[in-house]
Amino acid sequence: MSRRGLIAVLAAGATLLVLALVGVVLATSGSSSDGLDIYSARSHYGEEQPFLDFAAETGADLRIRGGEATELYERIKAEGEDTPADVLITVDAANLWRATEDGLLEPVSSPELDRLVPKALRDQEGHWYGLALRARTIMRSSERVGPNEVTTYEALGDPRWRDRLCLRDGTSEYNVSFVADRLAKDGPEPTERMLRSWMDNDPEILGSDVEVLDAIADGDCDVGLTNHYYLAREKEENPDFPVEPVWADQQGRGTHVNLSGMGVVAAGDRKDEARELIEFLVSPDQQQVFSDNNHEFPVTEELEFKADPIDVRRAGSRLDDALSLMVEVGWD
Amino acid sequence: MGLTRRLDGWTVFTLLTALAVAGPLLGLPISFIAAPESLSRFSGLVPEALAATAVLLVGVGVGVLVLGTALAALVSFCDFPGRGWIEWALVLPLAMPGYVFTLFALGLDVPGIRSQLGAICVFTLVLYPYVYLLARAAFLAQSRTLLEAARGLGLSRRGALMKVAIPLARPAILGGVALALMEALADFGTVNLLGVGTFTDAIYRVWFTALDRDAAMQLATLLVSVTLTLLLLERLARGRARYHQHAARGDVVPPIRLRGPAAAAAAVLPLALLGLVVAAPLAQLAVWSLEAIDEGLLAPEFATAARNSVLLAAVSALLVPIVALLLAYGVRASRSHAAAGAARAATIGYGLPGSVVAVAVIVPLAWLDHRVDALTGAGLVLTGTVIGLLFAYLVRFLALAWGSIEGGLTRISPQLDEAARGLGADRLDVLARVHVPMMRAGLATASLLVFVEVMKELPATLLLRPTGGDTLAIAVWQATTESLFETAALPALLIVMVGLLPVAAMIRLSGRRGAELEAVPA
Amino acid sequence: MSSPIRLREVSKSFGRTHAVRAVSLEVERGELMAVLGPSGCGKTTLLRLIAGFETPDSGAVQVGEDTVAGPARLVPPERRRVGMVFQDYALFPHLTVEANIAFGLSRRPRAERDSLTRRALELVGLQHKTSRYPHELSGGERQRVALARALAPEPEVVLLDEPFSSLDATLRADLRREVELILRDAEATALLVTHDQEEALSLADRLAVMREGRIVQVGAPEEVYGRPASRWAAQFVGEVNVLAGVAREGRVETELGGFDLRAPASGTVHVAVRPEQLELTARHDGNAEVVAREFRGHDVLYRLRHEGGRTVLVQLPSLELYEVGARVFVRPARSAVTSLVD
Repeated sequence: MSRRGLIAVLAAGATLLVLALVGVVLATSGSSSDGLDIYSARSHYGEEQPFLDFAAETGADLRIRGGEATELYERIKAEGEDTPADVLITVDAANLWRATEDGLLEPVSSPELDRLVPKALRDQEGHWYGLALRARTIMRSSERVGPNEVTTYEALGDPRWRDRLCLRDGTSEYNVSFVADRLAKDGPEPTERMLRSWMDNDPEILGSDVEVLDAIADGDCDVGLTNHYYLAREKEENPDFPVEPVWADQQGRGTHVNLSGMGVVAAGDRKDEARELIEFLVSPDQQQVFSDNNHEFPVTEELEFKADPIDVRRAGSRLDDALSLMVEVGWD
Repeated sequence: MGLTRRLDGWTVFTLLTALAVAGPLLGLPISFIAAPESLSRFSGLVPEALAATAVLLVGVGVGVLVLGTALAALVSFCDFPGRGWIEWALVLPLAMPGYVFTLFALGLDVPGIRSQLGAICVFTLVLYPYVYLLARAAFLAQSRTLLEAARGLGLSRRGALMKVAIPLARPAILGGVALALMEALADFGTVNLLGVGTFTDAIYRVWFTALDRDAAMQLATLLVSVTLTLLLLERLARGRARYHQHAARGDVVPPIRLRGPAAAAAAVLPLALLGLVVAAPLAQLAVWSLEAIDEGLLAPEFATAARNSVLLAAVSALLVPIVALLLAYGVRASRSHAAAGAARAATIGYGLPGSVVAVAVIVPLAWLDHRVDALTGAGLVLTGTVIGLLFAYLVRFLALAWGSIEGGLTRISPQLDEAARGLGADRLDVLARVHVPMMRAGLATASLLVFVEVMKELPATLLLRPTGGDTLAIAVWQATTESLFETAALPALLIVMVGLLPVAAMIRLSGRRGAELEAVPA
Repeated sequence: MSSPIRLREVSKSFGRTHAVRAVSLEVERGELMAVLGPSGCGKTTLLRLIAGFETPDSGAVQVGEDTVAGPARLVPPERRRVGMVFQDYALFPHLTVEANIAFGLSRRPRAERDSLTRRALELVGLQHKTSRYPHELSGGERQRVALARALAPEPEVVLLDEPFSSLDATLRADLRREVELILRDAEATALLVTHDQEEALSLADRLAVMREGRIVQVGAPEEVYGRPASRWAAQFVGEVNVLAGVAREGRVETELGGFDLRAPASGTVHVAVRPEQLELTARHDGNAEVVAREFRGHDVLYRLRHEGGRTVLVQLPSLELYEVGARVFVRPARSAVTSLVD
């Protein structure tokens, strides 16, 4: 290769690089001005329908960016004033709390939202609104465990469930949020006592809620703790799936309910449209779609059981304590 | 005079590039100043992560050491039916990312897979080729006379193997182990899916579930120091390995011809291993893929993800080796210690989990972005687009390209540079007319390795991809976390198929025995 | 016309090692000069200073008309018009013989490039191997390619760094002759660095003896051999007996007998007596005993113990042999003329 050859190759390489960059940039993003950008942690496949409907109805150009809620939160924070995001949707309360704390969400006042979404499921100042509810409750084998054998979260720590309990790993944000909420409402000692009693039962730790359900169905364990809609999905495929939910703590505070929620991004430049999207998503028709698709509970309807919605503010501030406690008792 | 002469364009270029690449990582410890209390809130997590990481490293270390060395010794010192192609087929597991094998194991519901032991087994099975390759190269470079001398001194064949051949290859073997361990440390997908609380997983937990980025960066700093220690060990071991290989003279050791049951076992056992690690997962993935296509379970953005993967990988495969080449040449041309040190620092990104690289990169990039935006109003040109991601790939994979390029460059005698310059070539000429043509194979290897690694890369992509920038690896991971194995299968299959490319190329390049396979990922 | 190479007070140190100390040297046009010295004496550094691979700490280097290194000037190697032949040739392994030779001609017009390449190929007699690669050549052929490559751009001077050290002893003598002929054919000025005194003596028009960074003697081979400037130079260039004696005018009396002196002197002196300047005869009452004998084919080197207790080296044609243990009489050869040393 001659010197001119190398320079030519380098130049060609550079040109190619620039072209490819431009190409990829164009292919993977659009300028933030001509559409509504939604950062959604709800990455379940086949869930685009409500958004498509909104686009069709209003003529808005929607772009959805998927990812972990924390990842989306970090991005919005890093992007600061320049963020393309207009709406943030999370799958848990923790990230709603964190985003609110950091002033990333704009308070929205909308009579319609106030009418549709119950008070407990929205922020007092309107930073965020619930989108769908997810109960984290006890699952039992319908073959080996009777409906009234275990009715409270504490009861999972009863020695009778020794080697019969399955839990998802401690990395799961659903578990951490659950523990944080207990810490906020019951205080540290009762929570720690409960977790230790669970750990004393030598639970089998699995990687996902689906695996927990499968383990109960396969007879590897008899009881577990999962989000309710995973069971609903299993039942949809196999109506004879031998697992039943137990709505926990019906005599007490009620079943722990986490929420998927959404808010208008403070630095976004299409706040009105963003609010309209939120209003659209909590409208009864759309709530039905979420419920049908993913078997979550609508925020706009009465539940069939006594629910104890997560206290977003208080639980949010206890997240690190929750994680530390879980590490301490050995819930990995 | 001497000094002004040294501080020339190449030195400045090398220092600046190295600083840009290493800077974000060197900035990680700042988190200890910014939020000194953060990590203490998770004080229980650190010893636990340390313990889990240590157990994993010891387990994987022993596993790859035994498996890799045994296989290398088998194909180097014994002859049996099928040896010719078993010898290279044993490299194939390199193409299998840990998380894809994990997806296969989880999908089949292998009992006990979700445990420390399970993770150790997975890593041992997919990472042993690092030890295998380096040990085999070392064995083949050993002189026949040395082994014959040992036998002349009264050692049996087996004795000569255990007392001479393996100890002589020790530096190479340890180098291979260190590489495998760095891969295991950097892994996120496997440990996350298997629920093993290593450092990577701990970073993920404090960051993604407790929402504490400062603590995550502090954990990352600790992880960096572990990685640097390994890197140092590897460098020491490799330094000596080179010496040994060059000191060796004489013919290749003639293999022992195995017969009967021994020969059958020698052929069947490696095949069984390959069946487990490569053939079975591929077959299962293919079946799941077909099911997914049949039932319309393909990930919705599958085509986009495939396109993005290929584009990102191709651009990186061009970008990273060019930077590595210029950097390596800068060090050589400037002959300055500062440049050499800076280049070394620029390669610590390898062996770090992508998530660490991602955190390290996003903070300074975002800062820069806002400055640029304030000046030009161009919007977020770095973090908002694929540029930030490509930069992260550069930080993460520069060392990978550096390994084969710098290795190739050091094998070119400096006398050739001088000869060329004496003949009227300036420094750029030397690069163009002597080095690049001589290193074509090394450059191609570097390019291929980067291509494949970018295809596989998960955590950095997860954090830094621009809107709509899903890749195949992300599709696999998202589907696997939701236990949608059929959906995960096709993208996983594609990743493995692409991964087979450089492995095949490496095998082809190493057709000649002896000097071979030095361009292994390092 | 100026000399192709002129060094003035050139010094270079690496850390605390003074590799080259205040060396001044001039090479004449068309001359083949050898720098001879033990390893580590700085001779290779000297070559690299001329080629431009090292920068002098002080002093000046002139190549042709240009000062290429000096207080205010530093010309990079590629613009010095200096050809270099390396110890292991440094041929480009990815290029053919022809492309190797044409490497330094890339900026010449095509016709000129072709004709210069062809001429260089003919000069070294490799016209029939133009498209071979270096690894397909023998050691001697590689040597010739390296030489042709250095000569092709018609440099002011060709520098050769230990050019024969990687060859077999049998090949070495032949190649030495061949290289000399090629260099003379090309009318090239050449500076060769070697630690092999036989090579330097047989090949060079002039040689410069170097020790610990300094040049201790410059002169024609016979001059350096016959009139060593110092005891060290005498010992380094060939074997020598250094004898003490008393000089009077043109003669010196030593314990082995009297020798003619090159220059008149008086008083107690030391003289350098080469082994071939002594003779032996077998005698039972001789003044020495044969302790060892080194048979070299055409001649024999004897190591004797003189009755005075010292060891004496004597070199004789191998026509007549003396056994180890034999008693001999050693005395100056008839024509022996010696020089004083320190």
